[in-house]
Amino acid sequence: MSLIELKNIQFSYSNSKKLTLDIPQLKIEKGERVFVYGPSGCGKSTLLEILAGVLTPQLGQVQVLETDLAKLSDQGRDQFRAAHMGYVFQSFNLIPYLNVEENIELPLHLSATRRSRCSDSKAEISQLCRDLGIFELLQRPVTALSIGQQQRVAVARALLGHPELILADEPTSSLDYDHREKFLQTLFQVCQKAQSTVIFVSHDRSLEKIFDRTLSFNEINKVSGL
Amino acid sequence: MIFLRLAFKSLWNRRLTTSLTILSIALSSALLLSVSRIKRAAEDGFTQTISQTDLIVGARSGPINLLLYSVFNIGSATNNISWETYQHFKAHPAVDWVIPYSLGDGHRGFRVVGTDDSFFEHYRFRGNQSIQLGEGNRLSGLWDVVLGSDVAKTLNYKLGDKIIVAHGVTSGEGVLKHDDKPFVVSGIMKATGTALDRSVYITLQGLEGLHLDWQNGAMPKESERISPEKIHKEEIKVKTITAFFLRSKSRIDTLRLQREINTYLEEPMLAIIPGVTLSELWRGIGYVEQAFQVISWLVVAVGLVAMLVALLTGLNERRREMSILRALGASSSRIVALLVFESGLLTLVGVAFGFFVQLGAFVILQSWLEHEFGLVLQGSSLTSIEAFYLILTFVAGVLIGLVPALRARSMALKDGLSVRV
Repeated sequence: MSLIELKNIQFSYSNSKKLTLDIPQLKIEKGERVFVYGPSGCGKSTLLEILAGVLTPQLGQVQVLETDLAKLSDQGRDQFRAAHMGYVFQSFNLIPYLNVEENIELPLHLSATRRSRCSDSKAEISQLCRDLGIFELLQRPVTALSIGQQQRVAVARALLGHPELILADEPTSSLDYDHREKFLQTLFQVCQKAQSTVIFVSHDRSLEKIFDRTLSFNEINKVSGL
Repeated sequence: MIFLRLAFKSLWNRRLTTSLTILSIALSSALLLSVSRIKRAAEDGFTQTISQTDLIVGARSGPINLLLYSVFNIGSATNNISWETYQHFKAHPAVDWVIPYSLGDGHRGFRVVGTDDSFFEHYRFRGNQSIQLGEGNRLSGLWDVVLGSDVAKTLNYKLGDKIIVAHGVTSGEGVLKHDDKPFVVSGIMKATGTALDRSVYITLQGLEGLHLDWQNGAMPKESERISPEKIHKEEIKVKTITAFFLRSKSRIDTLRLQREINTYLEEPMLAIIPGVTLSELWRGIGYVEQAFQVISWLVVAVGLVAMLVALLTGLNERRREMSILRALGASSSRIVALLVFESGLLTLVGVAFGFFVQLGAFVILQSWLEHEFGLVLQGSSLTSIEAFYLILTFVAGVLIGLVPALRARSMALKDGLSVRV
């Protein structure tokens, strides 16, 4: 069975009559690195939020890790997300009043599953940060970091405790071109190590060549096709 | 646990707003407590102006009138009580002691009370406090006068000073003065914080002696005046007094005595139980304090609204933070809990701080309040009603915290993780 299976998803925001998403089918296999591209504002982020269980579609079935998200309670979905997913935003990923290390270890406080997968959290954090090249920043306040450094901290946090799925919402768009490739390569390395599946959405097609699979959002979503 | 840490760090991160919010809650709850405590002190001071006196007896009029003119020097008596009647009840087997009170004259805005040694012996206020002399001695000579502390302070009198009593007035400067018969200050009382401080005390005979040469209430002509040297205390016969305070031997006798006095056939009289009438009177004038109480509640409301404004403004800046926590798997109810915890913590610290501000302020101001306003802060510094006020403020703070919290929750559930501005 696929890691993610969507069937006949229809979603609209409560304050609009127009559908935002209408996806007949989408399957993503375990370990895949999927690139989803589409213009800004077409609903890519909404798709990620549905996969994360933050939003619930009005119609259709969302299966992640063989779990039907609709069958979980609100709290159950939150717990599921905490245990199995890492989320990286375009920018401002970090809680401003916590330092780098405190930001990275947040998922361990929010999920017992993630905690149990990290027998020695200090060592795991150190290793992850060495891989990402931010080890020397651990005790810094996050406000002192450059945007590139902040994004790497966000990746470290998303990966700590080996979640099965990494959802990345344009995490490179605030980086310049040279940094983007480097950032992605590091991301893939650590994801491979953790055997995590990556879903990466972006409007910037120049990155697609390093992914296993590329999806055009307009093709999977019937709304934006119109 | 992580949420406690998040709350603390977040509040610390916004420490300017946090401390201002705490300050506004602290000041408003300190005001609330202060008003309540001053109210308590004022009520105690008022209702305990006289204690251990079972009955106040005067000529028949209204109970409040009798209380006002005998204890508070407001208004005047309609009639007097004859000396015989006074002696009758003084010798009554059920009576422990009596204090005679003769009123009518004044000295520069302060009333003159004619009384005797039993006043210094038996008068009690605020529980078991008796009258203490700060300087000098009690009344002994005919022309001796003992001053209440306010009188001495306001008019700057010392022992041995001569004072002139004005006829028939207890307020303002009199027109008719007993300037032929000056009194000599023999003693000055310590402050009592009651109406006692604003009177001067002379002997019953002294008061009678002033009027010895007066005929039918008219001032004597120069030739008819009797000089003070020719008047001797032993020769003066007191004919009437205005009122008397009475203590019965047992409390059971009080009601019986009251009935006996009220139905006394020789003379129409009224006996009142001071505590009952004082409470009655307080209920009438206590509305001023009620108004202050209402105002202080409004100030608390303003303090809480200030917190609400601070929280809501902060919430807009913190929507990103909430999204991050949501993305990390924090449930929306935990976000509500986080925000409510923050507002609860703010109010709790504010209320506690306010309590200590109030406590400290009263410790510093206590002697000044007692001196200037006769407000004696006694009893516990926090009564159950005041504790209840604080708890009420705290609960209101937590409930107010629900407003931004539920707003954050609905935004989170509706909009997902993206901040739509």
